[in-house]
Amino acid sequence: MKTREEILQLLKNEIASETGISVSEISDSSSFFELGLNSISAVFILDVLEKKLQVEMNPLFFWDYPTVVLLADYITTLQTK
Amino acid sequence: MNTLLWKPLDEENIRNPYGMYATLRQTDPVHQAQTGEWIITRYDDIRHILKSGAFESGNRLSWLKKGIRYFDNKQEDFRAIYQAMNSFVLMLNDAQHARIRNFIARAWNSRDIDGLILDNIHTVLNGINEKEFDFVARFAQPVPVYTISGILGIPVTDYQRLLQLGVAMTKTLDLYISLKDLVTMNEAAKDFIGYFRDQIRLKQVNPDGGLLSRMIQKNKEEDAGLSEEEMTSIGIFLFTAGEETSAGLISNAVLHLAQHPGQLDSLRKDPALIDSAVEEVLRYDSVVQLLGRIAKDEVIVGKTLIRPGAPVTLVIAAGNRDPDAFEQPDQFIIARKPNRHLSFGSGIHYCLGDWLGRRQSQLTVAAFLQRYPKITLPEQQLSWYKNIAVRRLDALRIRVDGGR
Repeated sequence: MKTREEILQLLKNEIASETGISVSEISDSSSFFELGLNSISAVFILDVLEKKLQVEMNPLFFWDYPTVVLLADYITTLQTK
Repeated sequence: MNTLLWKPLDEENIRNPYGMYATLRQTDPVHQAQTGEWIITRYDDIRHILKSGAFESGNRLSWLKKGIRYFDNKQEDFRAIYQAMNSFVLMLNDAQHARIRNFIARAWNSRDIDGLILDNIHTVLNGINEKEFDFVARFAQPVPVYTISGILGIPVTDYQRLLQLGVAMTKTLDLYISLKDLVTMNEAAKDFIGYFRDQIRLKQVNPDGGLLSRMIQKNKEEDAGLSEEEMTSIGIFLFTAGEETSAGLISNAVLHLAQHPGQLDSLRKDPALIDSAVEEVLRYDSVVQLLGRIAKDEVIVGKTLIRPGAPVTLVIAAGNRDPDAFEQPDQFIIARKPNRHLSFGSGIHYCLGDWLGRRQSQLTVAAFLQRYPKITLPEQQLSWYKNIAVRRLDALRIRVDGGR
């Protein structure tokens, strides 16, 4: 189990390594698509998150929870289910 | 986030999507989903777009092409998926579409299939001795696999293997997929390509009367013939399209008939109703629920401006329940006429195998009802294929009485 803060951090790290934007420039309220992700890189990042967090991801998460903080919050609640 | 109108992966919506469709159609018939694409749910709009030259097919194929390039850099090779799908006629446009479609249509010139289907029904029914069994695995799936194998001229002994590959390839219709899905699809694609390439090479040396051999013959007479890769892809497409959709239609037919005893009764009393009954199953619960298009030009749909390049999802199954197009749209009425449902599409991509799907379902459902004078569904939680684009039961427990 990871804390909300750890999940936020992990999410930012993965987005940073995918987009080349530095972690410090990614705010909690940044939207994934403003950060330059698209429907293809989303497939990749969701798979990385699934493996690292051991939580089953659904291909629509980036759209249904479109900012860093919304998705981190949602994954936090999923972990406790 | 509960305000989202488009929740295609929601378990409740997979079980029964019609509530979501009705809400969309009533409140926002040209809806821009969180994913950016336009979700179209009115009958007239869908029909208009299917017939319009301002939209084209192939969204999925171009997405895959980009995806394969992207994952190439991540050391993941998904090239087999694209190779398997390069001649899937429903995803092609313009000259390429016309070339492949015309080729298939010219080679597939015989519609004399009743004998083949009836033989297959007989074989499959003879293998059932239980009073309770899974209708999908024991009946609805095997008959179409035997039929499409017979049409193509490939051995029925490969049935189980091909069936699994067919199910995996159906994922190509999924709107939203994961990396795991891509891996599964790629493995299936490789296997499928290998299988059909072997069959094609075999039939080059030893032709028979099957469609694959006829295509090979026809191809030799063409000026610019198809490549082996294109022929392989056509084989995969015809097999998958002929098998999965028919199996789904036959299962949905028996499900809804068993759930509507009054309708089942009237069909038993008047077997000639089978034709309109199959049309009603197609309308009421279409196996193909969605079709994708891309806007080529700027177009107005309803009151909404759609820009060039925008992806559009046509919810066929929502249009089929539109009260502006059908009276009592949520009622299952097997004698319904006219019944201009959208389940085989419309326009230049209209289903090439509609006649086969129809005929096979009519004969198969009729034969099943004739053999078993009484069918009932035991208490069960119905499990649907986990993808809103395709409405097909994973299994259907059925109890039969009477018969042999």
